[in-house]
Amino acid sequence: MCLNNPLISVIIPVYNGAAFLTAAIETIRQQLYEPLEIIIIDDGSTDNTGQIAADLGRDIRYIFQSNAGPAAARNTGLLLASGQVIAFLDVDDLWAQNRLCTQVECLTLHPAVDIVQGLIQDLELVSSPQIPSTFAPVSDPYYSINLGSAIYRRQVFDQVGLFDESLRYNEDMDWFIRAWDHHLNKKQLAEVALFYRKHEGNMTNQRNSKQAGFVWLLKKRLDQHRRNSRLPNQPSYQPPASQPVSLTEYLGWRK
Amino acid sequence: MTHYRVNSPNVIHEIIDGEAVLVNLESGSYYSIDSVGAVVWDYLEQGLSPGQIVEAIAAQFAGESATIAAGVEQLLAELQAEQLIVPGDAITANGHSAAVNGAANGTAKPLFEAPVLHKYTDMEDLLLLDPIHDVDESGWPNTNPNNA
Repeated sequence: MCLNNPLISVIIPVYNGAAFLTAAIETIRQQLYEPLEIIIIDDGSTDNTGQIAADLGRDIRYIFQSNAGPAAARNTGLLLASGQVIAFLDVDDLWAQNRLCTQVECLTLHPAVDIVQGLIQDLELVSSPQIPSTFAPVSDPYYSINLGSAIYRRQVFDQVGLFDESLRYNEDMDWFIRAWDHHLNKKQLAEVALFYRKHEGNMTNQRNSKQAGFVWLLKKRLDQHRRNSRLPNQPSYQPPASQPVSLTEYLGWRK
Repeated sequence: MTHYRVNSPNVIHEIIDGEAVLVNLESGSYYSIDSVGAVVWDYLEQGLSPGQIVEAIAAQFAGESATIAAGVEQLLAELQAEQLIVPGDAITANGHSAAVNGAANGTAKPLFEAPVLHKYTDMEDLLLLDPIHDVDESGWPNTNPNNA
Protein backbone atom coordinates (compact mmCIF):
# COMPACT_ATOMS: atom_id res chain seq x y z
CA MET A 1 0.00 0.00 0.00
CA CYS A 2 1.29 3.47 -0.79
CA LEU A 3 0.97 6.27 1.75
CA ASN A 4 0.57 10.07 1.91
CA ASN A 5 -1.62 9.97 -1.10
CA PRO A 6 -3.98 12.48 -2.64
CA LEU A 7 -7.67 11.63 -2.70
CA ILE A 8 -8.55 9.94 -5.99
CA SER A 9 -12.09 10.12 -7.35
CA VAL A 10 -12.84 7.13 -9.56
CA ILE A 11 -15.69 7.82 -11.98
CA ILE A 12 -17.54 4.85 -13.45
CA PRO A 13 -20.08 5.69 -16.15
CA VAL A 14 -22.39 2.75 -16.67
CA TYR A 15 -25.25 2.00 -19.01
CA ASN A 16 -26.86 -1.41 -18.61
CA GLY A 17 -23.64 -2.81 -17.24
CA ALA A 18 -25.04 -4.70 -14.25
CA ALA A 19 -23.19 -7.87 -15.29
CA PHE A 20 -19.83 -6.09 -14.96
CA LEU A 21 -20.33 -3.74 -12.03
CA THR A 22 -19.24 -6.02 -9.19
CA ALA A 23 -16.01 -6.91 -10.97
CA ALA A 24 -15.35 -3.24 -11.72
CA ILE A 25 -15.64 -2.29 -8.04
CA GLU A 26 -13.52 -5.29 -7.08
CA THR A 27 -10.72 -4.24 -9.47
CA ILE A 28 -10.68 -0.83 -7.74
CA ARG A 29 -10.65 -2.27 -4.23
CA GLN A 30 -7.81 -4.60 -5.13
CA GLN A 31 -5.67 -1.52 -5.69
CA LEU A 32 -5.48 -1.14 -1.88
CA TYR A 33 -5.26 2.58 -2.48
CA GLU A 34 -6.45 5.12 0.04
CA PRO A 35 -8.03 7.62 0.17
CA LEU A 36 -10.45 6.77 -2.59
CA GLU A 37 -13.88 7.99 -3.65
CA ILE A 38 -15.91 5.79 -6.01
CA ILE A 39 -18.67 7.48 -8.02
CA ILE A 40 -20.98 5.41 -10.22
CA ILE A 41 -22.95 7.41 -12.75
CA ASP A 42 -25.82 5.30 -14.01
CA ASP A 43 -26.65 6.71 -17.43
CA GLY A 44 -30.29 5.63 -17.45
CA SER A 45 -29.80 1.86 -17.18
CA THR A 46 -32.86 -0.30 -17.57
CA ASP A 47 -31.23 -3.40 -16.08
CA ASN A 48 -30.59 -3.95 -12.36
CA THR A 49 -27.47 -1.76 -12.22
CA GLY A 50 -29.03 0.30 -9.41
CA GLN A 51 -29.76 -2.72 -7.23
CA ILE A 52 -26.27 -4.11 -7.70
CA ALA A 53 -24.73 -0.73 -6.89
CA ALA A 54 -26.80 -0.54 -3.68
CA ASP A 55 -25.40 -3.90 -2.58
CA LEU A 56 -21.79 -2.88 -3.18
CA GLY A 57 -21.34 -0.86 -0.02
CA ARG A 58 -22.22 2.47 1.48
CA ASP A 59 -18.87 4.00 0.62
CA ILE A 60 -19.89 4.11 -3.04
CA ARG A 61 -21.74 7.10 -4.45
CA TYR A 62 -24.40 6.07 -6.93
CA ILE A 63 -26.08 8.66 -9.14
CA PHE A 64 -28.83 7.87 -11.64
CA GLN A 65 -29.51 10.19 -14.56
CA SER A 66 -31.56 9.98 -17.75
CA ASN A 67 -29.64 8.48 -20.63
CA ALA A 68 -27.44 11.21 -22.07
CA GLY A 69 -24.34 9.35 -23.23
CA PRO A 70 -20.90 8.67 -21.80
CA ALA A 71 -19.66 12.27 -22.04
CA ALA A 72 -22.54 13.58 -19.95
CA ALA A 73 -22.15 10.73 -17.46
CA ARG A 74 -18.46 11.45 -16.97
CA ASN A 75 -19.18 15.16 -16.64
CA THR A 76 -21.69 14.50 -13.87
CA GLY A 77 -19.02 12.47 -12.13
CA LEU A 78 -16.47 15.26 -12.53
CA LEU A 79 -18.83 17.85 -11.07
CA LEU A 80 -19.38 15.64 -8.00
CA ALA A 81 -15.78 14.55 -7.56
CA SER A 82 -13.91 15.93 -4.58
CA GLY A 83 -10.55 14.26 -5.31
CA GLN A 84 -7.42 16.11 -6.33
CA VAL A 85 -6.86 13.31 -8.81
CA ILE A 86 -9.39 11.78 -11.21
CA ALA A 87 -9.49 8.27 -12.65
CA PHE A 88 -12.08 6.78 -15.00
CA LEU A 89 -13.10 3.16 -15.27
CA ASP A 90 -15.47 1.85 -17.92
CA VAL A 91 -17.57 -0.76 -16.26
CA ASP A 92 -16.44 -3.67 -18.43
CA ASP A 93 -12.72 -2.91 -18.14
CA LEU A 94 -10.29 -3.97 -15.44
CA TRP A 95 -7.27 -2.31 -13.87
CA ALA A 96 -3.81 -3.74 -13.42
CA GLN A 97 -2.81 -4.29 -9.80
CA ASN A 98 -1.13 -1.31 -8.19
CA ARG A 99 -1.66 0.96 -11.16
CA LEU A 100 -3.11 3.73 -8.99
CA CYS A 101 -0.08 3.72 -6.67
CA THR A 102 2.37 3.63 -9.56
CA GLN A 103 0.68 6.43 -11.45
CA VAL A 104 0.12 8.62 -8.39
CA GLU A 105 3.78 8.26 -7.41
CA CYS A 106 4.70 9.52 -10.85
CA LEU A 107 2.29 12.45 -10.54
CA THR A 108 3.68 13.32 -7.09
CA LEU A 109 7.28 13.12 -8.28
CA HIS A 110 6.61 15.36 -11.28
CA PRO A 111 4.61 18.42 -10.24
CA ALA A 112 4.62 19.73 -13.83
CA VAL A 113 2.91 16.61 -15.15
CA ASP A 114 -0.87 16.87 -15.55
CA ILE A 115 -1.74 13.40 -16.81
CA VAL A 116 -0.03 10.06 -16.26
CA GLN A 117 -0.92 7.46 -18.85
CA GLY A 118 -0.24 3.72 -18.81
CA LEU A 119 -0.46 0.97 -21.40
CA ILE A 120 -3.62 -0.83 -22.45
CA GLN A 121 -3.76 -4.58 -22.82
CA ASP A 122 -6.57 -5.91 -25.00
CA LEU A 123 -8.36 -9.04 -23.86
CA GLU A 124 -10.51 -11.20 -26.06
CA LEU A 125 -13.09 -13.77 -25.12
CA VAL A 126 -11.76 -17.28 -25.49
CA SER A 127 -14.11 -20.20 -25.19
CA SER A 128 -13.36 -23.88 -25.18
CA PRO A 129 -15.26 -26.90 -23.92
CA GLN A 130 -12.93 -26.99 -20.88
CA ILE A 131 -12.86 -23.30 -20.06
CA PRO A 132 -16.06 -21.44 -20.84
CA SER A 133 -15.85 -17.65 -21.23
CA THR A 134 -12.33 -16.60 -20.34
CA PHE A 135 -10.75 -13.32 -21.42
CA ALA A 136 -7.16 -13.77 -22.62
CA PRO A 137 -4.57 -11.16 -23.73
CA VAL A 138 -4.31 -10.49 -27.46
CA SER A 139 -1.63 -8.39 -29.18
CA ASP A 140 0.95 -6.20 -27.46
CA PRO A 141 0.04 -3.51 -24.93
CA TYR A 142 -0.28 -0.07 -26.50
CA TYR A 143 -0.94 3.56 -25.61
CA SER A 144 -4.21 5.05 -26.70
CA ILE A 145 -6.73 7.64 -25.74
CA ASN A 146 -8.76 5.30 -23.57
CA LEU A 147 -9.58 7.54 -20.63
CA GLY A 148 -9.31 4.63 -18.23
CA SER A 149 -5.60 4.13 -18.87
CA ALA A 150 -4.61 7.47 -17.29
CA ILE A 151 -5.03 9.53 -14.13
CA TYR A 152 -5.59 13.29 -14.24
CA ARG A 153 -5.05 16.22 -11.92
CA ARG A 154 -8.50 17.60 -11.14
CA GLN A 155 -7.65 21.07 -12.43
CA VAL A 156 -6.98 19.87 -15.98
CA PHE A 157 -10.74 19.75 -16.46
CA ASP A 158 -10.92 23.44 -15.53
CA GLN A 159 -8.26 24.22 -18.12
CA VAL A 160 -9.44 21.98 -20.95
CA GLY A 161 -13.12 21.89 -20.05
CA LEU A 162 -15.44 18.95 -19.64
CA PHE A 163 -16.30 16.30 -22.22
CA ASP A 164 -18.34 17.47 -25.20
CA GLU A 165 -21.81 16.08 -24.56
CA SER A 166 -22.86 16.63 -28.17
CA LEU A 167 -20.52 13.83 -29.24
CA ARG A 168 -21.85 10.33 -28.89
CA TYR A 169 -18.55 8.77 -29.88
CA ASN A 170 -14.94 9.92 -29.83
CA GLU A 171 -15.52 12.36 -26.98
CA ASP A 172 -12.33 10.92 -25.52
CA MET A 173 -10.34 11.75 -28.65
CA ASP A 174 -11.93 15.19 -28.75
CA TRP A 175 -10.88 15.82 -25.15
CA PHE A 176 -7.30 14.65 -25.72
CA ILE A 177 -6.99 16.84 -28.82
CA ARG A 178 -8.13 19.81 -26.70
CA ALA A 179 -5.68 18.78 -23.97
CA TRP A 180 -2.94 18.85 -26.60
CA ASP A 181 -4.14 22.28 -27.77
CA HIS A 182 -3.77 23.45 -24.13
CA HIS A 183 -0.24 22.05 -23.91
CA LEU A 184 -1.14 19.74 -21.06
CA ASN A 185 1.83 17.74 -19.96
CA LYS A 186 1.17 14.02 -20.24
CA LYS A 187 3.68 11.45 -19.11
CA GLN A 188 3.60 7.86 -20.27
CA LEU A 189 4.55 5.01 -17.96
CA ALA A 190 5.43 1.82 -19.80
CA GLU A 191 3.39 -0.41 -17.55
CA VAL A 192 0.01 -1.92 -18.27
CA ALA A 193 -2.66 0.07 -16.43
CA LEU A 194 -5.83 -1.11 -18.12
CA PHE A 195 -7.24 -4.37 -19.40
CA TYR A 196 -9.69 -3.67 -22.19
CA ARG A 197 -12.19 -6.41 -22.88
CA LYS A 198 -13.14 -6.60 -26.54
CA HIS A 199 -16.58 -7.85 -27.38
CA GLU A 200 -16.56 -9.50 -30.77
CA GLY A 201 -20.30 -9.30 -31.23
CA ASN A 202 -20.47 -5.52 -31.39
CA MET A 203 -17.19 -4.47 -32.95
CA THR A 204 -18.53 -3.94 -36.47
CA ASN A 205 -21.47 -1.82 -35.43
CA GLN A 206 -19.30 0.17 -33.11
CA ARG A 207 -16.75 0.71 -35.86
CA ASN A 208 -19.40 2.17 -38.17
CA SER A 209 -20.71 4.46 -35.45
CA LYS A 210 -17.19 5.49 -34.53
CA GLN A 211 -16.41 6.30 -38.15
CA ALA A 212 -19.41 8.59 -38.24
CA GLY A 213 -18.34 10.03 -34.89
CA PHE A 214 -14.86 10.69 -36.17
CA VAL A 215 -16.19 12.61 -39.17
CA TRP A 216 -18.32 14.65 -36.74
CA LEU A 217 -15.14 15.47 -34.84
CA LEU A 218 -13.53 16.84 -38.01
CA LYS A 219 -16.66 18.85 -38.77
CA LYS A 220 -16.54 20.27 -35.26
CA ARG A 221 -12.91 21.30 -35.77
CA LEU A 222 -13.74 22.92 -39.12
CA ASP A 223 -16.55 24.90 -37.48
CA GLN A 224 -14.18 25.99 -34.68
CA HIS A 225 -11.60 27.10 -37.21
CA ARG A 226 -14.29 29.03 -39.11
CA ARG A 227 -15.35 30.84 -35.93
CA ASN A 228 -11.72 31.80 -35.42
CA SER A 229 -11.41 32.68 -39.12
CA ARG A 230 -8.39 30.46 -39.53
CA LEU A 231 -9.17 27.51 -41.72
CA PRO A 232 -6.24 25.11 -42.04
CA ASN A 233 -6.17 25.42 -45.85
CA GLN A 234 -6.05 29.23 -45.93
CA PRO A 235 -2.80 31.14 -46.49
CA SER A 236 -3.48 33.05 -43.25
CA TYR A 237 -3.59 29.82 -41.24
CA GLN A 238 -1.09 29.69 -38.39
CA PRO A 239 -0.55 26.29 -36.85
CA PRO A 240 -0.82 26.27 -33.04
CA ALA A 241 2.23 27.55 -31.17
CA SER A 242 5.05 25.06 -31.15
CA GLN A 243 4.15 21.92 -29.28
CA PRO A 244 6.62 19.78 -27.38
CA VAL A 245 5.18 16.67 -29.06
CA SER A 246 3.10 16.08 -32.17
CA LEU A 247 -0.60 15.41 -31.78
CA THR A 248 -0.06 11.88 -33.02
CA GLU A 249 2.53 11.21 -30.36
CA TYR A 250 0.33 12.87 -27.75
CA LEU A 251 -2.55 10.56 -28.54
CA GLY A 252 -0.17 7.65 -28.23
CA TRP A 253 -0.15 6.67 -31.88
CA ARG A 254 3.14 5.98 -33.54
CA LYS A 255 3.91 4.57 -36.92
CA MET B 1 -21.07 8.41 -68.97
CA THR B 2 -19.07 6.57 -66.29
CA HIS B 3 -20.79 5.70 -63.07
CA TYR B 4 -19.03 6.39 -59.80
CA ARG B 5 -19.21 4.98 -56.35
CA VAL B 6 -17.82 6.25 -53.04
CA ASN B 7 -14.33 4.83 -52.54
CA SER B 8 -15.23 2.81 -49.45
CA PRO B 9 -13.75 1.67 -47.16
CA ASN B 10 -10.86 4.06 -47.82
CA VAL B 11 -13.23 6.99 -47.60
CA ILE B 12 -15.48 7.74 -44.65
CA HIS B 13 -18.01 10.53 -44.93
CA GLU B 14 -21.01 12.22 -43.37
CA ILE B 15 -23.31 15.03 -44.37
CA ILE B 16 -23.68 17.29 -41.33
CA ASP B 17 -25.69 20.54 -41.36
CA GLY B 18 -25.68 20.65 -45.15
CA GLU B 19 -21.93 20.16 -45.36
CA ALA B 20 -20.38 16.94 -46.66
CA VAL B 21 -17.22 16.07 -44.70
CA LEU B 22 -15.14 13.44 -46.47
CA VAL B 23 -12.04 11.70 -45.14
CA ASN B 24 -9.57 9.83 -47.30
CA LEU B 25 -7.93 7.42 -44.87
CA GLU B 26 -5.37 6.42 -47.51
CA SER B 27 -3.97 9.91 -48.08
CA GLY B 28 -4.76 11.43 -44.67
CA SER B 29 -6.57 14.39 -46.25
CA TYR B 30 -10.06 15.48 -45.37
CA TYR B 31 -12.46 17.61 -47.38
CA SER B 32 -15.58 19.65 -47.14
CA ILE B 33 -18.19 20.62 -49.71
CA ASP B 34 -21.29 22.55 -48.83
CA SER B 35 -24.51 23.62 -50.48
CA VAL B 36 -24.85 22.17 -54.00
CA GLY B 37 -21.78 20.00 -53.47
CA ALA B 38 -23.27 18.26 -50.45
CA VAL B 39 -26.41 17.49 -52.46
CA VAL B 40 -24.26 16.05 -55.25
CA TRP B 41 -22.44 13.90 -52.71
CA ASP B 42 -25.76 12.68 -51.36
CA TYR B 43 -26.79 11.62 -54.86
CA LEU B 44 -23.45 9.90 -55.48
CA GLU B 45 -23.95 7.95 -52.27
CA GLN B 46 -27.38 6.93 -53.48
CA GLY B 47 -25.87 5.59 -56.70
CA LEU B 48 -27.15 8.13 -59.21
CA SER B 49 -25.28 8.33 -62.50
CA PRO B 50 -23.58 11.62 -63.41
CA GLY B 51 -26.41 12.30 -65.88
CA GLN B 52 -29.04 11.71 -63.22
CA ILE B 53 -27.16 13.93 -60.79
CA VAL B 54 -27.04 16.82 -63.28
CA GLU B 55 -30.74 16.34 -63.95
CA ALA B 56 -31.63 16.27 -60.27
CA ILE B 57 -29.51 19.32 -59.48
CA ALA B 58 -31.07 21.22 -62.39
CA ALA B 59 -34.49 20.36 -60.95
CA GLN B 60 -33.52 21.67 -57.52
CA PHE B 61 -31.43 24.74 -58.31
CA ALA B 62 -31.97 27.69 -60.62
CA GLY B 63 -29.36 28.20 -63.35
CA GLU B 64 -28.34 27.60 -66.95
CA SER B 65 -28.33 23.87 -67.77
CA ALA B 66 -24.86 24.12 -69.29
CA THR B 67 -23.50 25.91 -66.19
CA ILE B 68 -25.01 23.31 -63.90
CA ALA B 69 -23.69 20.41 -65.97
CA ALA B 70 -20.21 21.96 -66.08
CA GLY B 71 -20.22 22.66 -62.33
CA VAL B 72 -21.30 19.15 -61.41
CA GLU B 73 -18.86 17.52 -63.83
CA GLN B 74 -16.01 19.64 -62.51
CA LEU B 75 -16.79 18.52 -58.97
CA LEU B 76 -17.00 14.85 -60.00
CA ALA B 77 -13.61 15.18 -61.72
CA GLU B 78 -12.08 16.69 -58.57
CA LEU B 79 -13.63 14.03 -56.35
CA GLN B 80 -12.20 11.37 -58.63
CA ALA B 81 -8.78 13.04 -58.73
CA GLU B 82 -8.73 12.98 -54.92
CA GLN B 83 -9.74 9.30 -54.96
CA LEU B 84 -12.91 10.04 -53.03
CA ILE B 85 -14.97 8.38 -55.73
CA VAL B 86 -13.95 5.69 -58.20
CA PRO B 87 -15.56 4.41 -61.38
CA GLY B 88 -17.93 1.65 -60.37
CA ASP B 89 -21.22 -0.03 -60.83
CA ALA B 90 -24.23 2.11 -60.25
CA ILE B 91 -26.76 1.26 -57.63
CA THR B 92 -29.86 3.00 -58.89
CA ALA B 93 -32.41 1.56 -56.50
CA ASN B 94 -32.88 4.78 -54.55
CA GLY B 95 -31.71 7.08 -57.25
CA HIS B 96 -34.87 7.97 -59.06
CA SER B 97 -36.87 8.71 -55.95
CA ALA B 98 -34.27 11.25 -54.89
CA ALA B 99 -34.33 12.89 -58.31
CA VAL B 100 -38.10 13.02 -58.30
CA ASN B 101 -38.15 14.48 -54.80
CA GLY B 102 -35.88 17.22 -55.98
CA ALA B 103 -38.06 17.97 -58.99
CA ALA B 104 -41.27 17.87 -57.02
CA ASN B 105 -40.19 20.69 -54.73
CA GLY B 106 -42.47 23.57 -55.71
CA THR B 107 -40.86 26.39 -53.72
CA ALA B 108 -38.54 28.95 -55.30
CA LYS B 109 -35.31 27.27 -56.27
CA PRO B 110 -32.08 28.44 -54.73
CA LEU B 111 -29.52 29.74 -57.18
CA PHE B 112 -26.99 27.23 -58.47
CA GLU B 113 -23.45 27.99 -57.36
CA ALA B 114 -20.62 25.88 -58.64
CA PRO B 115 -19.59 23.59 -55.76
CA VAL B 116 -16.10 23.97 -54.34
CA LEU B 117 -14.16 21.08 -52.84
CA HIS B 118 -12.07 22.31 -49.90
CA LYS B 119 -9.09 20.17 -48.98
CA TYR B 120 -7.41 20.05 -45.54
CA THR B 121 -4.19 18.28 -44.68
CA ASP B 122 -3.54 19.49 -41.12
CA MET B 123 -4.58 16.19 -39.56
CA GLU B 124 -2.64 14.10 -42.05
CA ASP B 125 -0.24 12.27 -39.77
CA LEU B 126 -3.07 11.45 -37.41
CA LEU B 127 -5.41 10.18 -40.10
CA LEU B 128 -2.71 8.05 -41.70
CA LEU B 129 -2.45 6.07 -38.50
CA ASP B 130 -5.93 4.66 -38.97
CA PRO B 131 -7.54 6.38 -36.02
CA ILE B 132 -10.77 4.55 -36.63
CA HIS B 133 -9.04 1.32 -35.87
CA ASP B 134 -7.40 2.80 -32.82
CA VAL B 135 -10.49 4.43 -31.43
CA ASP B 136 -12.12 1.03 -31.54
CA GLU B 137 -9.76 0.17 -28.72
CA SER B 138 -11.22 2.83 -26.49
CA GLY B 139 -14.86 2.03 -26.50
CA TRP B 140 -17.48 3.36 -24.23
CA PRO B 141 -19.20 0.26 -22.99
CA ASN B 142 -22.29 0.55 -25.11
CA THR B 143 -21.92 -3.17 -25.07
CA ASN B 144 -24.42 -5.81 -24.45
CA PRO B 145 -23.32 -7.54 -21.24
CA ASN B 146 -24.74 -10.75 -22.69
CA ASN B 147 -21.84 -10.77 -25.14
CA ALA B 148 -19.32 -11.11 -22.37
